[in-house]
Amino acid sequence: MKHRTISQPKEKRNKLELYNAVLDAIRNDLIDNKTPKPTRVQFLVGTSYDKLIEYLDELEKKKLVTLKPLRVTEKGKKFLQEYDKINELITKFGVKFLKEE
Amino acid sequence: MEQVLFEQNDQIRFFIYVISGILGAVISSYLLRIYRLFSSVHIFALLIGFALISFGDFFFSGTIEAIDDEKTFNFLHWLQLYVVSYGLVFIGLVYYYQKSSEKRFSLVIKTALVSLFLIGLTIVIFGIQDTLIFPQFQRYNEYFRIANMVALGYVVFRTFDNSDLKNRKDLILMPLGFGILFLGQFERFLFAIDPASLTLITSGVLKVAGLGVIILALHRKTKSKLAGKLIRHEA
Repeated sequence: MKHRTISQPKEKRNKLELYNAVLDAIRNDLIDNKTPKPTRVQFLVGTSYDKLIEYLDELEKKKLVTLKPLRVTEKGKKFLQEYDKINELITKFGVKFLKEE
Repeated sequence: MEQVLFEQNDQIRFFIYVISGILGAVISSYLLRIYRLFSSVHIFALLIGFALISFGDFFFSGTIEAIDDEKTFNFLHWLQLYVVSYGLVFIGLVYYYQKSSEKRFSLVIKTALVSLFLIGLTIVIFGIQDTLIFPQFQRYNEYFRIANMVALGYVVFRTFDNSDLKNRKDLILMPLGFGILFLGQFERFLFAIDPASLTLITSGVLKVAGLGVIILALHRKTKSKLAGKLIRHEA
């Protein structure tokens, strides 16, 4: 089984990038395994377990993932497709709310 | 005096309000598309802000005919002042609470929405009841304009503070757009204290220009994106 690290753990990422990394990791892990597990997603994202659980809760509230079972929703898939647009909008408005971890 | 100038510039004002309403709606629909993908409270507040600005202008363009009835004219002006000012306050709040958590900012926005509803309801009740005395909007117009300038000035300052501006010069369009909106409100403030056709028309034109620049900023593609597309195309 080939593991892919979505991004470097030491690289400082903002919250939006982390959301993107978590969703990407769940989607990629689903390709490799039938049931994605938080620990594997944690490895792929390169973050602490506590932080991952916090992000997963936030993503669930935004209806981007389901936790039982761990899956990316249709809305989450659209988020991944349109990530560049969302990131660009926030950058253009210069709002810092998702630009800091 | 203001009413005479409004009457003299009826057609151009109608045209400006319609264009400004359309531009505000374009920005709101763009924000709504992004909000559907990513339900963030900050994006929601920006969406509400621009939607209120757009609604205020659209609504007012349809009621310019009411200029002959002084009471209705006064009431509609109060509504427009209140709606547009609230729109700008919502945008200002996004920047003021830009580092706050979604949970905290959500409380602020809920409070702002409740107050928007309650004040709106009060104005409507005052407006439709003949027995209640509704103050002349001209007496308070300049205070609303000052509040609008404070909100916009803060937004301009914050958008200039964008750390990405150092690497991407195209990001200057956003503070520029808000800056032009600020000048529009300043012109409207000048009109409130010393009414003249030129300041009235200039304020409308500046508002349209400011919203236009914001749309341009949102739809402008970055150079790196264009380069990426070209590379993919060549491949």
